[in-house]
Amino acid sequence: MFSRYYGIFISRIKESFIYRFSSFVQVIASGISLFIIWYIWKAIYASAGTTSIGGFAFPEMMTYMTLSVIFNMVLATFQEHEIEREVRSGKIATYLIKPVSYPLVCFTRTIAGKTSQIFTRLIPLLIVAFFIIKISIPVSWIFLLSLGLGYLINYNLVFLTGLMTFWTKGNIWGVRLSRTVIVSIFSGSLLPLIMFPEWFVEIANMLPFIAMFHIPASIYLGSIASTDIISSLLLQGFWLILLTSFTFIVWKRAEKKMFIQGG
Amino acid sequence: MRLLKLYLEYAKVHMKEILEYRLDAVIGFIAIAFTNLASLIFFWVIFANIPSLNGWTLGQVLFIFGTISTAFGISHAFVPGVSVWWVEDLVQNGGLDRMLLKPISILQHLLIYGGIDTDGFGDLVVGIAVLTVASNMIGISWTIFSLGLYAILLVSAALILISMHIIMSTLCFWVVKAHPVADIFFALTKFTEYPIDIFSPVTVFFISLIVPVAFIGYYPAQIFIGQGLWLNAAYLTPVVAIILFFIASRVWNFGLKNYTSTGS
Repeated sequence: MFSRYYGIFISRIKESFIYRFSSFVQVIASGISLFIIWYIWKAIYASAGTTSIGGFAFPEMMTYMTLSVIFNMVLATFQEHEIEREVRSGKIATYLIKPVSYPLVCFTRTIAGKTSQIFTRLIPLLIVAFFIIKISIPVSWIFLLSLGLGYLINYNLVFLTGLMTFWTKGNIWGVRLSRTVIVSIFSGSLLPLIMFPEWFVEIANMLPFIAMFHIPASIYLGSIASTDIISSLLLQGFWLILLTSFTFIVWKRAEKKMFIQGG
Repeated sequence: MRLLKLYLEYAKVHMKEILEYRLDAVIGFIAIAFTNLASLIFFWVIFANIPSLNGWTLGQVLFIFGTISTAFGISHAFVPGVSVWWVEDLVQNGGLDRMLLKPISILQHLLIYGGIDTDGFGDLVVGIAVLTVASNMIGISWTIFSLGLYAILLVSAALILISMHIIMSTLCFWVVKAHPVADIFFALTKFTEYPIDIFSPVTVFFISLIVPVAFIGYYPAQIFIGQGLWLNAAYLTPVVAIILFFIASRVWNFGLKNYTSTGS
């Protein structure tokens, strides 16, 4: 049964190497962003008159902001647009008559895309991060597990965005862009949440977005006490189960809708 | 004159399209407005932690930011046709071949056929709102003359953006999927969201003269703020815009000469 998805996985990896230009350009764009971030934070620290902002010294802040660029690269996908195209063109039907689950096909494709990006994007970015910006090494490697959970939570939102195509003609591009902005603000990837007013942090703590950046980054930096790591992971697990169940329900409805429409 | 008439014709068609897909237009507008929100929140939180950024107050930084957003808004709302995404699409589906048959140069056609794009109003509305708030915060007293000058600078900044879009679009003649290059473009425009004196002199040179993104926001804004590296640089904005547009149309024509249809 897994061999079916393995085929999709391999063919997608091969396909993704066609877009070398895109990877090359992405790495440069990330490099430019990091360059700007470095100068801005240097100016912010010079203007603050203190060595610590929100409990972060300058090197820690640079580690945090660099992680934000790297984790965002890990989370980013255009799968919702592929789903949109397949629903609009009716190509989705060709998957439904095959003995595969469409949500798993989509998931396999994003994982394959990410796997190929390890070499084309992630490693170049890590080289810049560790050797040029000199970010600190992770305090706890459990951050990888936490980032994995964050990835799955984010993927649920991506898939749900794609499924919106079933109910609205609305532009998925706009929904996707709005979603990434909301995620960047509430996940702590725009700025450390500790710098925000307390009421804002309280709201953020009630939303699933902190599971996508704040938690894995805090574990990386060691700003979550090791005794609290378990509860943080449990919180991520809670959001993952909740969102996956929701996605499952929405997908079942979408399937039904397809039968009514006759594909 | 004929171009203007054609432009209005296209704009009319696009307005009908927008009315047909109202929800799409609203979502696009909100999405673009949202991207500005992230930057505004960034400034708001940062300035809650520091009194000023390298000697610039929140109001002054917001004025620079509002200038860029408004320039982006003008180019996106009124000249959406030259973007690397559209041109890429045109090359791929053969639309460009059809345009070659029209009695109008392709570049002119691209400049007008986008008509009006309501998504761009997301930048324009937020930009103007931020400018209003910011100029109150720093107490700029506007006169008819200074408003006129500012309008000219904004249009010039928009022309710089359009020229950059033309240069990026030219890549579509060689690379099938050229749109990722826009990521570099957007990364570069981030330089000008901040007072550029926080960057090293080499960087300032680069963003002023090599890729003149500093003329989109920083230079046009600083003359009204009355503080900055080189106040009179603001007056160069229209000159930079015209030179860049000239270069862009040359680059475009060079690319077009090398264009061979995809044949699809």
